Amino acid sequence: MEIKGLDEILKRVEKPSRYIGGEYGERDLKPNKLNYCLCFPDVYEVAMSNLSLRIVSEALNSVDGVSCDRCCAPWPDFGKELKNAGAYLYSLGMKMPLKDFDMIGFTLQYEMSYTTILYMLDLGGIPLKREERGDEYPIIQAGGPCAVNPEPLADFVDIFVIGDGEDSMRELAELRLSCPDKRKFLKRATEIQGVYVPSLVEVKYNENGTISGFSLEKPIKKALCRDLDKGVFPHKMLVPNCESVFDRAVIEVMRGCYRGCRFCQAGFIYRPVRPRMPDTLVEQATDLIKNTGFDELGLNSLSTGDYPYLKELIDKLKKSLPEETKLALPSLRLDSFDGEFVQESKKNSLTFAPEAGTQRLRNVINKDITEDDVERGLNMAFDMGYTGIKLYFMFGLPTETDEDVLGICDIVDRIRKIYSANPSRARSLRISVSASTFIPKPFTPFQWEAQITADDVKHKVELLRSRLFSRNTYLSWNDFELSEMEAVLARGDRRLGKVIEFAYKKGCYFDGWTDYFKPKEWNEAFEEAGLNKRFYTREWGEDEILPWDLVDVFVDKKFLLKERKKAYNAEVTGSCKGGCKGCGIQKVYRCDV
Amino acid sequence: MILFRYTKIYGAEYVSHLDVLRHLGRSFTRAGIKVGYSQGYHPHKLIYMSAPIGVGMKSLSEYCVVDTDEKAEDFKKKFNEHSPKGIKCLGAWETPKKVGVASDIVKAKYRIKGLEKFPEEDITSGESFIITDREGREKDVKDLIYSVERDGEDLVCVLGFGNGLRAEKFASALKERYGGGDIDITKEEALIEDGTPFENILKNICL
Repeated sequence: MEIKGLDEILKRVEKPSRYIGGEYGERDLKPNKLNYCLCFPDVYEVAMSNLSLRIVSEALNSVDGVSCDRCCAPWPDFGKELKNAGAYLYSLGMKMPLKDFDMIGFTLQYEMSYTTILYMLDLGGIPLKREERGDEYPIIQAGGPCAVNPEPLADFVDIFVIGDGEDSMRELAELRLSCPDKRKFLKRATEIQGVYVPSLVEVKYNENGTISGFSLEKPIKKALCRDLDKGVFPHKMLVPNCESVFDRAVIEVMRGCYRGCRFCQAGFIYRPVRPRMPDTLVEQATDLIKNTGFDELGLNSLSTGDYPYLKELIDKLKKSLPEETKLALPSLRLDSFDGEFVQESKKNSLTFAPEAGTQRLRNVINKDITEDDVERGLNMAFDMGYTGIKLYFMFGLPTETDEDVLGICDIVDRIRKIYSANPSRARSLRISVSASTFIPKPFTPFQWEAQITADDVKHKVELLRSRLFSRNTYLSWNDFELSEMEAVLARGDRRLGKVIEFAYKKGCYFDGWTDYFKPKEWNEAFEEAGLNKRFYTREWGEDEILPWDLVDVFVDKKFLLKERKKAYNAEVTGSCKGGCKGCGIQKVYRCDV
Repeated sequence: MILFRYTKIYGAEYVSHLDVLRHLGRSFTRAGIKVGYSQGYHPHKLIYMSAPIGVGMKSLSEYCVVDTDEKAEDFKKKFNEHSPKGIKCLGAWETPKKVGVASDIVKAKYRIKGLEKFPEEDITSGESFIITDREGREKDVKDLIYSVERDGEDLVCVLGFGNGLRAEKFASALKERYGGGDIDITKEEALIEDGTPFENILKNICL
């Protein structure tokens, strides 16, 4: 489809290659019986690094009669140009305006992308609210990790797919092909596991603003891909026109995580752990490298160091991939770090996430790394020539005291000691300490916890700064207001729809980009909607009905409560590898532990 | 080594110089063209490109030298089977040593579409031609304007590199003066100092 004046616009904006499509490896899409557009509510370079969209796109394009296209949020310069030209946001493949698609799917990777969804709908010529959209508009669908609490977006989204998308989305597209009537389709879609249609569910509230009930017989069970090894995985991927944030080929070695860190939402909602077999992965990897020409392969999962066949996989990959291919292993934990694996990719800075400053607090969060693990991992890294280390911590974890905060300084001192113990190492070690604010998330043992306040953060930062002043040590912490908004949206209910809409109308979008986050406008939006942020960041009662109680991710609430109690006693549960901990997933899936 | 001429069209004109470098490297890998690597802490493929052109300008005359033992004919075929649709090899030559594609090419012939007609002598016989460079400074680039001719609706000109002169700056200065619509520029031929197309001298320096 031709867009008038596009060439002139492209010459005026930053990085025009974001908006032209035509990437190497692109499918030749033609309008079909069902035109589906997968949308990523962030900029091209981020979108092109996302693996889930590639998997779902592969699944949808395998359905006869479906053309699955893609679209990303345009940077504000291009967005303004489109508006001024009276043009609509278009898909990158067929260059079709979003409003002309039959279905549009948004991936919810991050709560702070919610206003960007409205921005894309708006630019795409689609009314924001589902009630304002007639049959002539596309059906708006959303999925991804944040969909486990779909309620804050219930006003805008017609249909949520909760859980694994590869099979459920395909079923959904097949149903849509056979059911052109929108109302009938929405009703029948609820028969697909993982599908939630907010227009069919009513929420009732108590006078104090808490939820008194849903008009729903049983919670929505998340969709589950039972055989990941045989599951959909693209052997081709688009080579982005411009450098993307993770500019490499990627395989997903497993889904789920054995660990159960109590603050980590992904660790619970992606259960059960499903590793792919090394031979399957080697085949996918060799095809991807051959088809893309990337010289780096990412081995993705929530904790790749825990992948049971890691050694075998790496040996096989080394034999099958071109010599120059580097392996990237993200999210290695301190205790699973094995120098041998990463030796080839020469890097000068290593990232570790102890999360908490003392052993006690690490026990609270069930991050069972011991000081000895730390020492072993670091010694190995320093021997390999690493001269920089980045440490991630969280402020405001439940039960945190000043002593825990100061424990961060002890860790830094200890690392310096370990480093200088061997005089042959290069002279200076650079340590960056990065602290973020803890955000209580749904479906974690900490889902009921309060989030700390701005004053608390200030106090902790001051405390740390007063002690952390050794040479070559750098402290950074993230914007509290952003973390606060993330907490509100993560645990929000349906009433937040108004706030999101007002905030967007006040110019909020790309909130995840610090330069574009507008706390003042968000605060005004809360005021106009008559809602209070603290209501959502307070401690929630254990007997309260939670907005996400209408979803079942197969982890029992009783288990989460038990874990919460253990946290308060600083008791570690440990990893699933040490035996089943009875989270509830075994009721629907036989875990292989 | 292989020296080759390639295009930047069909959307590739919007891809930046550094990203084109990445695409070239990946095309070689996909095509199974073995390329030499630099020695050092961060080894990288030995690829040398001609000077960058503005993002948005099409080109039929980009040059690149790559450290490989491939035969020219095989190279062209393999590369074109695996490169993005707008980045295609138009010719390849084997060369015993690195050729200065960035230093030998000092001017280029451009085709500009979208400008209103005007007397070309205004430019060629005028005393000066002022453009505003990226830093906002006014620069006289008359010495770098070697020819300006009309070819049907299009304007064909030869411009030198340097002093802040870029074909798109030149075209927008003309548009401001004489009017025009959407401007479309194609770099048609890379030239050496005496105005000879770079390609013509390759037979002397290549095998």
